[in-house]
Amino acid sequence: MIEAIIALTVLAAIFGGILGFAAIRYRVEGDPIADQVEQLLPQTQCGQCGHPGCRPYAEAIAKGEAINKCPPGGQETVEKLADLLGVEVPELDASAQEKEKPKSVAFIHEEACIGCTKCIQACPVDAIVGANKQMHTIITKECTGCELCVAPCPTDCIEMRPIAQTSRTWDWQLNKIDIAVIDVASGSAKLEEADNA
Amino acid sequence: MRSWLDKIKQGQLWRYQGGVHPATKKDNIDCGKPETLTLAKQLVVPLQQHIGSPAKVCVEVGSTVKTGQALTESRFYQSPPVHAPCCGTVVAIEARPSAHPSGISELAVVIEPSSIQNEHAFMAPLLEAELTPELICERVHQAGISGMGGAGFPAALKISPNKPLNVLIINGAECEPYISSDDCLMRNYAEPLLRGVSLLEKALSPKLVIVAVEDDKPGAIKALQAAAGDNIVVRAIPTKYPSGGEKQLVQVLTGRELKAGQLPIDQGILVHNVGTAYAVQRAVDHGEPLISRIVTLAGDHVGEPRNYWVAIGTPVSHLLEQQKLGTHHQAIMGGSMMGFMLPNLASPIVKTANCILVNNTPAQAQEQACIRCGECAQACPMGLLPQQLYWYAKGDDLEKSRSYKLMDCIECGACAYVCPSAIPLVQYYRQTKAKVRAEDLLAQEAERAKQRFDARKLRLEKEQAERKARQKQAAERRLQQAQGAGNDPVKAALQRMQNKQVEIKAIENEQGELVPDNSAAIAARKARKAQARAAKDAKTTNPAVAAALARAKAKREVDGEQSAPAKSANPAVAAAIARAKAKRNSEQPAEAEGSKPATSANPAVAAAIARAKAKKAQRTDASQPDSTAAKPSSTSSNPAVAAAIARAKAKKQAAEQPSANAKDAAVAAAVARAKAKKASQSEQPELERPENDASKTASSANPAVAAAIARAKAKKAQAEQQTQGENADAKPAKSSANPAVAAAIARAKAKKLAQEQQQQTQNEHSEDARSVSSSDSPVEPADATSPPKRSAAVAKAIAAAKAKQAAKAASSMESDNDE
Amino acid sequence: MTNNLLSSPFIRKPLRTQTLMFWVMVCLLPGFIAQSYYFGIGTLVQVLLASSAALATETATQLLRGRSPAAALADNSALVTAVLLGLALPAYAPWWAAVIGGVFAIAVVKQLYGGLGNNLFNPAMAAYVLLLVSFPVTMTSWIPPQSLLAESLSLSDGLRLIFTGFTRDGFSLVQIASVDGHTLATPLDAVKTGLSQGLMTEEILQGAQFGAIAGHGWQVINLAYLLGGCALLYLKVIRWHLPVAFLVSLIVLAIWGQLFGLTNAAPVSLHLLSGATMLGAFFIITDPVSAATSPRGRMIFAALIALFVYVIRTWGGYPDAVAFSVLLANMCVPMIDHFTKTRVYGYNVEHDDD
Repeated sequence: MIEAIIALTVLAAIFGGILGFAAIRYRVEGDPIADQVEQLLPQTQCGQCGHPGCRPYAEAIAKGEAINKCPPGGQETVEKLADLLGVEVPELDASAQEKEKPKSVAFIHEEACIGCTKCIQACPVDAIVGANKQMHTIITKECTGCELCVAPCPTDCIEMRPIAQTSRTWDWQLNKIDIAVIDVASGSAKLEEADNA
Repeated sequence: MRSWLDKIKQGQLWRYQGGVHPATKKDNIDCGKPETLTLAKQLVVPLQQHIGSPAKVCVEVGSTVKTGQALTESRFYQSPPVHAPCCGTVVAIEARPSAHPSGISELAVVIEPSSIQNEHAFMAPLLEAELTPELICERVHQAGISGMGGAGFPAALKISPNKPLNVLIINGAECEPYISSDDCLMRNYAEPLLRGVSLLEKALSPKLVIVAVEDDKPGAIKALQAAAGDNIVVRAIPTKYPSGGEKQLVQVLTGRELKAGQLPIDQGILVHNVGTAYAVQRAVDHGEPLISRIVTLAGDHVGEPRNYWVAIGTPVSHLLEQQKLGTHHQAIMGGSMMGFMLPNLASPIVKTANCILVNNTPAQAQEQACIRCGECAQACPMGLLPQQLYWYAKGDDLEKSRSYKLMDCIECGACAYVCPSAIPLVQYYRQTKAKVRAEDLLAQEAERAKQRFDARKLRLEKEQAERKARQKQAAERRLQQAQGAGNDPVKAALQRMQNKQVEIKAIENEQGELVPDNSAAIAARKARKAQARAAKDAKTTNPAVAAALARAKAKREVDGEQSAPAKSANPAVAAAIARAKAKRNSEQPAEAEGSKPATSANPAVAAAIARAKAKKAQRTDASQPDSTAAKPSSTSSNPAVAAAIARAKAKKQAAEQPSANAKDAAVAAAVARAKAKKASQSEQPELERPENDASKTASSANPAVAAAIARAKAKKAQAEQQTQGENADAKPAKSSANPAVAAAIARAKAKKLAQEQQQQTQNEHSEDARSVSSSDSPVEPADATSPPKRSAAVAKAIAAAKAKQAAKAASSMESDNDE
Repeated sequence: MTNNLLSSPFIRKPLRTQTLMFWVMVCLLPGFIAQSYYFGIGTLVQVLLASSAALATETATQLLRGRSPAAALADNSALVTAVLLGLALPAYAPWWAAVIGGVFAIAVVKQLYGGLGNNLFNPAMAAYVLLLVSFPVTMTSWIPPQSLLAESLSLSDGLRLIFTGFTRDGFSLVQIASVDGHTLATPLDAVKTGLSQGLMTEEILQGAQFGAIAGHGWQVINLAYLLGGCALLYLKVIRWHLPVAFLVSLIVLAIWGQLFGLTNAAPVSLHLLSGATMLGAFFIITDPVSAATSPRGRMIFAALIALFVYVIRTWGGYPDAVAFSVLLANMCVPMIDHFTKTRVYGYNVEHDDD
């Protein structure tokens, strides 16, 4: 009887020690799930999910919030998140956005800009340059297309423009190309159709 | 054991895995001295014919160019310039269908050749004595030479010596069926070609130079061997597709396998195309840039398949005409294994275009199910598993595609060539690769966005902390000073100059808004400048014009439309009006166009005025519901409301003027407007003390200045009305003695306030409203039951530049009326 | 102008799937002729029965799946499956065996997995195993080669045997198969029973059903399949990896068995030229769909089959084992594929820098 108690106590102590050691030795800083989720989010920092940025949303997801609130990421991101978290794939929240838009960047109609800096304050990634009463402009390369700058503009001079496809970003959809018919007799190229759809 | 280099020298060849042996179909292609193709009616020279970035255009539409004249320029080797292939005139610089499988239009210089082609603008030939590697490199860049084998890598970038070079390989393998342009070059221009090789050798000083030619081109091998000196090895390699691929060629000749992501130069090997070598010779010895190349025209429909010297920029359709080929054919640019069908025959021949094929359009073979026969894996020169890649490509599994090294696929087409199920494998890979690239790009962008977001957050936090610290300091200092001396310096300053108060307050206000700290300073500086200008304006009549113009320009990029009127007869007025216009520019361009015809005598100015007026009028119309709704309340003897209504009316009146009285519109309108505003403002003298100053200034000699100032005043007044009704903080804005400062500040404020108020009024108001009346509409910005606030709201509604706000106000008005 | 932009390459090797399948069938001819010579009309009937069942099933399933049956039939794959099944069945198995096999092979093993290219198992062998497990007696009732029979089976008797189970004279298959009062089993069967009775291998090989090298008749049939297989290799319809790896492994295992004096080890020649060895080596395990992908993987796959064949033949309960082995190896394919990815150019490069 007494041996059993001693043995169990010793065992408990040993395993407790091991667990305690492991807890310290293999301690994981932060929330790894939140980190992984954040990796998948598009980092537009648009706040359409209701959180002030992608990191807070990632943390919220890690705590169990719905994963379908990210319109910039689209259904693709939802699927990846579902895959990561091992849950069913929900539809992208319809109320978040009517449809997936083509990726756009902001554009300032510079002649209408009055230099109020409101958009600069709104931009989460500092992609707008300008100073008070100086004309502002978008650093297109840095713009995430979050649209946060559109609403604050007092003159409505910011517009979201879809990014045009170039031959470098072309997706090889051969069947989407219209073929131009060329009038060779006249020697000049006459396009009867748009050269590209 | 022999050293590696010795092995190569002694002719040892290595093998690479995979590869296929398609029929070469080169036997009937004429490889005699190529005929030079006549110039097309228009040559389209795309700015970017290489990997890298396009250089800067240095010609203008309409300028005449000589053969070989640079059309673009750049100091950077990754942006080799392009040159005019002939004498002629630049007729356009615009997006034209590119020589790319997508046919997406890209920027190109369009040249119309002149009838006489006798002038050229070649560079001076380099003398043998002065040749240095750097000089050759620079010349290669200036001549716009980029790889002519297919990828179009800038040659200068490749030969700028930065790493020790063991083996220089000149690629004359030309393994694709049909293509024989390199064969033709080697046969007919062996000597200059080898001279080019030795120039490259000079630039790079490799230990060994090999010219590699596939053994199905005995003519070329013979010609090269006859011309080659001792230091250049001409090596025949077994005919197998794709031996001409850089990696494969390196492996065949040196036995070295390039690690993933490695360039040949990382292993001391460099590969150049024979065409590049020839172009180098032309550039160095003749100063001739790369403006033409040999192109093979072949295929089932081509009666006499042969090679041509074709000027870069020649439309493919022009080449097809040489063999009386109609346009119902589809041309393939490049070979039958790796080329692409041109969606548009207007696409030009570019530096990398070595062949145009006009074949029977192959019946699109029915794509069958993959039976996993593994033939593709046997054929793949990269050791990939095409059938697995196909599987993942079909399933859009980018992750798996990556892990099966899809991105290492060189798209040689060997797998699709052998596929018994006729699956267009390469097409699948290309699409998937594009997706992978897009995904990578997104990931990169996300990473950058995250970094920037984090940096911004940090910065804001820091600023916040700093601001707090500063405020605390300032408070302490004030406390100390108040205790230490009875004379408060701030108060003294206030007494000394009343108007400075404005600025101080403004700083605080704007700080609260997170406006950069220096804004106040800028405003102050501007104010001083403006004041000086205004003073000048008052004295001298004409400099004012310049000042106003300058200000208008500083404000925004002045486009031609705007600057044109400003230059005309009464520029001061124009400038003032232009400024006004800029304010509301984007609102109603269509309407603006519409009102243009009404102008006359001084068309530029008149047009500008008319447009400005039209917009204003339109805006006033938009706020019409406001004013009508406001009428009943004007009996409440509130001067602010009255002023607002008066202003609206005045504006409408003014809007009618240009059409009625077009001749003198310019000055008259401005004056009228200014007066109208003044009138409206003077109805509330107890509120608008500084208006007197303004009116004084306005009544000075130059009506243009007056108009501008008056307008600014009006704006400011408007802002003040709001702030008075709303916010005690806004008080300082009105006490401005200097109209320019006032205008600047007031304008910014008016806008800000307009927005803020909408919410504030709404909140405060609905509370008041509930206590006073039965109206309980929560979205009521201008509640009729609370006169002072209501007036502010009405004024604000009018002031708001935005149509959406007006519309909103209007709609809420209506709902109010309904109640 | 219509949009028919195609992607490169614009030329293709003329060899197509249907051609491949066609050549497979042509190369089966020598074996088929040999089999018919020794077993009479039965083989042809089985092939025809299985083929019609398979083609009908293919058509039906394609229609059910809303696809064009013509396209599926055109690739000849169903036909090859059926022919292989027909050849594998005992020549005078009842007609329903071939029909059940044909329907099962196409409907369940192939189409239920998604059609050509998607099936996990070899359809012909899966169907064969289904029949073997369900009707063991029927499926092991091979009559001895005609030359060993007391009186040769006439054409009409053969047909009656298949469709009614009895010859005109009322003999059943078992009765016909017996020579001198006792049943003549297939050579492999004979070895198995003989060994289990404690006979020495040499003694067993003295039996009437054994010829110069291996089983009488069977040796010729296997050699005929070997011939056809060589033709396939020559025509580059199949690559050498699978058959060579299979046969070499089998030989090595057989020699190993003999060297270590396993009591129940059959000689090498018997392993190579009995049962379905050659048919399996060149025509069955070379089904690309259910085999491993990379050359190395294929060699492992083939060696694995050889191992299973040897183990089952030696220690298992069934005389022949190609069908079982193929199915077992099919199950291992995903794992084999996973571990035998080819080395992609540029990765894990070793340099002999000097």
